[in-house]
Amino acid sequence: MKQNIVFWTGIKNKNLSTKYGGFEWMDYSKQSWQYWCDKNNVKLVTFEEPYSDINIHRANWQKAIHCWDILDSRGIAADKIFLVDASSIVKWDAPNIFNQVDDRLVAWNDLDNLKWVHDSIEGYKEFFGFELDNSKYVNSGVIIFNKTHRKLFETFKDFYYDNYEKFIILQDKEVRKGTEQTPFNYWLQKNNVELNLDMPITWKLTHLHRKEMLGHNWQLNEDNTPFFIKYGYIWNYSGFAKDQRTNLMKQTWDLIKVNYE
Amino acid sequence: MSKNVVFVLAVEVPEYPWRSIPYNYGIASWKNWCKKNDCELFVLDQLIHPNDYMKVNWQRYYAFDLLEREGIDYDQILVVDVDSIIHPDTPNFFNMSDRKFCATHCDGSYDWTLRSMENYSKHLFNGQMFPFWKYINAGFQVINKNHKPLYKSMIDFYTENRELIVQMQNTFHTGTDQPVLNFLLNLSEHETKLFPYQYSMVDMVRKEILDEQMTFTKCGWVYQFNAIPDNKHADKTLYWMKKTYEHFHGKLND
Repeated sequence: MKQNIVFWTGIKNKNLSTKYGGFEWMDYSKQSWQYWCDKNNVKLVTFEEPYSDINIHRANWQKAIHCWDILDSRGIAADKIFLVDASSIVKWDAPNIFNQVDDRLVAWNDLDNLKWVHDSIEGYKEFFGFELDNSKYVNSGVIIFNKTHRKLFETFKDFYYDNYEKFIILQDKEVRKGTEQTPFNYWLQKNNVELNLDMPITWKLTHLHRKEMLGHNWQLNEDNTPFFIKYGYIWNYSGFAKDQRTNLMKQTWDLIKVNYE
Repeated sequence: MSKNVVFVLAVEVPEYPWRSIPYNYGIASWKNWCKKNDCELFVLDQLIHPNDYMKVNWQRYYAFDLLEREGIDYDQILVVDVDSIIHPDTPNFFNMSDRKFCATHCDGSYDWTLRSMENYSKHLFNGQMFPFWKYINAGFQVINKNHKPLYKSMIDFYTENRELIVQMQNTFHTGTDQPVLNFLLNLSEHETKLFPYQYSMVDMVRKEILDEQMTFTKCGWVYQFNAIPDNKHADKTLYWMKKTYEHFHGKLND
């Protein structure tokens, strides 16, 4: 029987441990998603061991190009798939998002650091030979799709492996703005994929400090709950110094963990 | 035959004369866009009420009355802040409206937005709320005749609650007309359509695109020169509006 899936990526690559200040943060994320999935009758599929050589093919690439392979290898028949990663915590009472979406590929605009987005788009433009519509540029860390998109992901995988040496040069030396996100955006738009960009940003609260959502309403001073907890459903700990991630996610977890018991 | 109108509020407020210095650049850029897209530009440059009775931003809700008084046969109206510059190649957004109330979500400081919502909810709207992702920037509103009752309700609401609204403005500093518009709009039956951020690019410093490389001009269409830090006498607003106008059109002739 087909099930809705949360596909959670959290690969603890020892070579990157210093950069990320350890990987304790992944455990908070996983606990939150396990709770939410159990509550909403959703299957949690965790991707914790690399599918191919992690020192060549980065984790973000692997989740994007191998998610179908991994589901197949585990004999899982998916209805809708919600791709998330270990830098996110889902709120304990977030509603079942699968009941709110249609069959279009669901994604959220990436509007935090538009300079980064612009430079990344420009950096890959020549390679793709395509004029990207930046009003449809999305964050690849939180997306929902289904079997009608399988071919899109499989062709993306083929395209990656046909060109991965060039991708690695662009990624690590020439552009240095992200991993698979901008190539994925080019792939979406080149393939005319219909997007659902209408879901509220409550489901993708990235760059919490840039959005100034870490505080509370100090003017009324009636409720000390930080804004992101009060109004958000998924908190993505991105845009910070990466070695601070455990510290920040632990602070959140200590505030809210009682709700997940 | 009725035309689409761009309605720009460009009033010099005696208390803040420096604020109006960059206005000419905003008006000129909209004038160019209107000419290219067969729209009419209407500039409100006189206060209807003294600023100490009704802050200037509130006075844009007389737009329908003013256009009708001037005998302008309008179809849709863009009500836009004057501290904005429009890219000359901006698509004609009137064709995107579906004749709904159109605006962009206010994607900047959510601390400010959420305090604004909570403060106004508590003190003016009996605790009612609406989803924060529906909170719009009032500096870019596409409207039509269906929205006359909404604009009238803004003026009526101000008149009936003026004392409290002024107190709120002076106490919390979380907006003038914008929070009230958001409540009246979102608690009403009006259908709204949110345009992409690129049609009203607020808080560009926060997004790291207000730079000497003019990155913002490559990222979208309508630039709102607001929320610029350390901008006490609008000197940075003038700097960026002049530079942006000249980037697209060359020097502005008087």
